[in-house]
Amino acid sequence: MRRGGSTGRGGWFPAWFWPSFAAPAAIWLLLFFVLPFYVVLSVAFGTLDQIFLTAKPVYNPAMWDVTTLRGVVSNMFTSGSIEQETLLRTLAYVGMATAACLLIGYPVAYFIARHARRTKAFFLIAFIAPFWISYMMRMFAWVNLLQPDGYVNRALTGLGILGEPRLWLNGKPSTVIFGLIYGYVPFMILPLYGTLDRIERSTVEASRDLGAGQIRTFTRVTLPLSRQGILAGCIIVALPMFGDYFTQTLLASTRQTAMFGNLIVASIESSLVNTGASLVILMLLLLILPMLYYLRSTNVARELAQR
Amino acid sequence: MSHPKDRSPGLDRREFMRRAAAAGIAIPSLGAILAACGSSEPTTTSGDGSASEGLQLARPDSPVTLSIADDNPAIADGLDPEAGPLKIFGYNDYIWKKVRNQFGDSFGGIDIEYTVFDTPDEMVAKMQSNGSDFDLLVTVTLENIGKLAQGGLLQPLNYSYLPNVESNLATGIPDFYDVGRQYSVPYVIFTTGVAWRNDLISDDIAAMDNPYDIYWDTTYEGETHLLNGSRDMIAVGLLRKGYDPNESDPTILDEVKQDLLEGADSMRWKFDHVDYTELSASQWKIHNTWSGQMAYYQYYLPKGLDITSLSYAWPPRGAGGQKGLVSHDLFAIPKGAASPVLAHEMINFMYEPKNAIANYSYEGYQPTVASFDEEAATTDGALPESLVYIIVTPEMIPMGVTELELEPAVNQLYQQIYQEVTGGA
Repeated sequence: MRRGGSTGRGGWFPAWFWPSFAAPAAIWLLLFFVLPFYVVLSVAFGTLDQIFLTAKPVYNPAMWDVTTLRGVVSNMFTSGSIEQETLLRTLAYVGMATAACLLIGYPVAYFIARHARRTKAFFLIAFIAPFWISYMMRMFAWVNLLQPDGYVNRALTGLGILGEPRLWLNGKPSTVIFGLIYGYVPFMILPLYGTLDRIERSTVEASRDLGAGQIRTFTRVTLPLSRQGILAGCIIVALPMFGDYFTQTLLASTRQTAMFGNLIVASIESSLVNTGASLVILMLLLLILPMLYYLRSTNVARELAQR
Repeated sequence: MSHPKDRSPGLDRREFMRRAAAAGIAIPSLGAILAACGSSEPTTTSGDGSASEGLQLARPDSPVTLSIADDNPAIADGLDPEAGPLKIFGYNDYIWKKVRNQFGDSFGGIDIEYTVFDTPDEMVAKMQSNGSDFDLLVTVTLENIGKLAQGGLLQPLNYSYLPNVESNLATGIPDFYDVGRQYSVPYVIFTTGVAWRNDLISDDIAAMDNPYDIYWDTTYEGETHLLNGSRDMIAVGLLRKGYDPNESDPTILDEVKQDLLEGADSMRWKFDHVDYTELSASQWKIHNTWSGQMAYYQYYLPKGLDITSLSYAWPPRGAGGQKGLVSHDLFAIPKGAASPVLAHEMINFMYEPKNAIANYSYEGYQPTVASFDEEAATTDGALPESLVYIIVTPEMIPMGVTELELEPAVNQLYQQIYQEVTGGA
């Protein structure tokens, strides 16, 4: 073996060969995450042009001014502040929408993985199909469906469920949560399906052979084995939901329904750009926590599987 | 050497410290690289001013003559038009494509590129970073012309290329924000008022003592929309109480903020400026809007809704004679434009009455050309009775008040109030 290289069934490789496979991803991350995030930091800790009130990023960390970030953090802990109200509201929306996505997505994924058999491909395509249409267009479609004389109101009044058309689009939290569920539920189904499909049938059959009923087999075998899929699905839908602003803008657009993403966009589009950048930093810190939990959980699961 | 897959995914403490130290070295270097890419110097300005010297706030009783720097003269007389393309920066559809193409054809088929901005704030930010990428700015709002010119982002106009402006500019349009119109030429004029569905609302809003009260009438909770943007939204609160739309007194602004917060809670206002597209979804009964916008309505009416079902009130014309907004947008030419002669020619072209009227027939905002016959527009049946006030007549201009430039600190306060009232929505 030559120094610095490695041998194997594939022959000799120089020391840089395998690590170089990570280069595209590393360059991508550097250019499109690290660098932009550094600019966000420089804006958050920077100043404003005194004529145009536009951002003047300060790129030298030694000259960073944390006054704005400190103010935003302080507002987060001030009862009744717009930052705290919006954050709590967003957490509630995301929590409810994620739970609903799980409740809807799990049975669907279970059905496809366990019972669809020959129609599995059909159902998978059917659930992926919404991805072919842009998120914005799908939300626009709901604007028309939910309008006062739209099909939803017509159907509900026609069936006698509603006495008169309901104003779904006039700043109702339920409409925003519904929009989030509709927009993100396919992202929940796919990881759940992947996990459930990999569960060995023999494991389930062993449980049944040992006397466990259907419900007990599900709660003691299938559900624990699909834990990683549930976690992945929840992370995949909750993280983008937290930064979502478009759903609220289209389906509600009121003070009472504004989400954290709306607050960031509104700040960045105005002269409160330092505040907007500070909100981005706080959101990132907040979202890192579930992401770290997921990574830790994945590592633990992998270690357990290797024992 | 082990295969990467076989390595431990974790880092030991020594390795972590080593990488952290490397990152510590790299981050300041990154800062230096980024600083080199952008300018960290204060914004330079034209004339004898600098950014730190502040703005001269133009008011009708305190007109401002914008200075012209030695290094930023107007283009020379008698130059040939460039080969193009002509790059226009403006609101969406603010110049009809057909009119743009006609202009292009009249100059040998030059290409015209039209880049869109959504808000004045976005326009200012883009002008600051890439202003010289554009040849013609359509449109600059009055509160921005001073800072763009004083910030050195515009070039002075050469009126030898603008004979149509000299001969066709409507009278009565003020120029206190740019005395002598050195950097800007009016493009369209409009008012801001109340649009409502008269088929759904029996109240005659125009006849109310204070038409602004309608935005706080809980009968229309969830069905009332305000214009998005800090100036227009806060102006509703200020004008309702009879204050000036450029108010800078923090006590008054706080009083108005409380009113607006109360309205946002009790009325569940929506904030947008797409009232015309929302017609098809019957999303509103009352909308604060611009008069020029209402001319679009005819193109967006859903089946079964007639244009006569819509009304527009401009408060100074109402029974209570409350203050109301009137304003005009401007043409300007960025400093460093690649095709400044073509840009001048385009402004001149838009001041030919037939082109101005053709453009008006599509985009709805009233041109500031003298030959525009306001009386004919309101009396020949082209407009229903309920919409006659979307036409701005010469006597309306002095009746109205205008949103003007604010001190930066006051501007920040407006933005903060807007953020609090809308919650970012």
